[in-house]
Amino acid sequence: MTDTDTSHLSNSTPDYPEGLLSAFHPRPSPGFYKRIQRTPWQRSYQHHLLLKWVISLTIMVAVVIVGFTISPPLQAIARQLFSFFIPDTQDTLEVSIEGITPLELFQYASAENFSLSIEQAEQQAEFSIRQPESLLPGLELIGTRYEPDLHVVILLYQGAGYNLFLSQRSLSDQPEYFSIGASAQVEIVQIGTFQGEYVAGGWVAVPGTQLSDIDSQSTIQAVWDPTLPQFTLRWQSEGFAFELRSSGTNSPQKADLISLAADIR
Amino acid sequence: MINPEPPLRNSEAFSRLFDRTHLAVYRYIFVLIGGPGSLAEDLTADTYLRAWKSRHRFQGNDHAAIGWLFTIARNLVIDASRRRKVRGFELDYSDPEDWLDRWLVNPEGNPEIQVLRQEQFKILWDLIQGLPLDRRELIILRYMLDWPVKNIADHLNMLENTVSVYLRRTLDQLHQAWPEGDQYHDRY
Repeated sequence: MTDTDTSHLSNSTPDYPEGLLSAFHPRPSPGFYKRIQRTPWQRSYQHHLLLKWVISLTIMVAVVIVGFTISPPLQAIARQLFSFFIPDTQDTLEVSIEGITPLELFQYASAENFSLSIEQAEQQAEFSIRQPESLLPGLELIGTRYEPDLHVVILLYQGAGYNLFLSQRSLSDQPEYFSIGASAQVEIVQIGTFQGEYVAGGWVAVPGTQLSDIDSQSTIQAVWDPTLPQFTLRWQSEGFAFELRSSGTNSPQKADLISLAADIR
Repeated sequence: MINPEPPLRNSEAFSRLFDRTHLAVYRYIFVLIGGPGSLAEDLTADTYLRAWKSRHRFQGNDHAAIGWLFTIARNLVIDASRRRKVRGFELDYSDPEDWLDRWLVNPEGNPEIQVLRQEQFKILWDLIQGLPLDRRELIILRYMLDWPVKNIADHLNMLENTVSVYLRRTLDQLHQAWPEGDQYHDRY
């Protein structure tokens, strides 16, 4: 290409001066836009936007609170958020057990593990333990245990062919979640003047599925079984979270558990 | 283009008007005053401040609003020109890539074309700055902001035919004033 060869330029240039003018797009500097941010209409507009956000947020929060207050399904969601049953994403679970064998885990409901008296447990937990004023026929208190890690007191009762656990802890402590399978049905029930949640079923170890046993830590495979004779009722009252769980072939179910819960003082 | 919503009702509407129109107002002022950019920015900001203060007196649609802004801007440019005796502004051509990238849409990658455009734009800029303010305004509205002749006539309270004649004469004047031997002149 020589110095006089400008044909490639002629094809690329617009019609002058109209074309060149239409292609001329000067822009303000970033400093101009910063300055505009301080103008009265922008400040007023930003204040207006902020006000709209605050009002919208307030309305949304109010709607959510009202929804949680008056709608049973939303109440169930709220409770799940605040420490009730947490549905798992599937019906199987791997449980790690440290320091004890799976056999010891299944022998948990024995008098040796619930060796404290009510008074001793109260001293350790530093709160007054609530109990049902009257028990079901044949049901008797075996003992009490305090689990300092979770700050929870558990009372063990036994009846004809079943165990009944009454757990209680202060709501000011860390929440204790009770995981349930994805297919578990949570039922909202009325216990006197407050509401609770009731679930039938439980996790069952799959026979022969112990996955590892290294350095005293075992892992077992568990599956959610809705037909398992285990029935759990949870509720909150006067700053405490309660759980009644019956387990065994003759376990008391929903009506009896609700009756017991309503009788707890 | 015409927005039926009253454009200056409140700060939100005024902000939207600013967002839609400030580039056109800035470009109008930039060429009308002949730069520099900082002066055009000052006058653009002053234009909107004046409009904000007198927004309650404005009645009209979106198109009328931008005409109103241009009227305010033109008065500010006239005042500024009188005060500072500014006649023309030399753009900094030392770094053509810089202003081509920033101000000319679709800049060509070819360095030869960039240099050619730089030279031609410098010629055009000098010629435009030599025009009377009213003719400069016509050129800006028609060819930089792409206003139809009818809108220009309405805005300047002139007959459409008069606007067309003035535009033709102004373009002829620019073409005739273009230096002999320039690439553009060879093509024209």
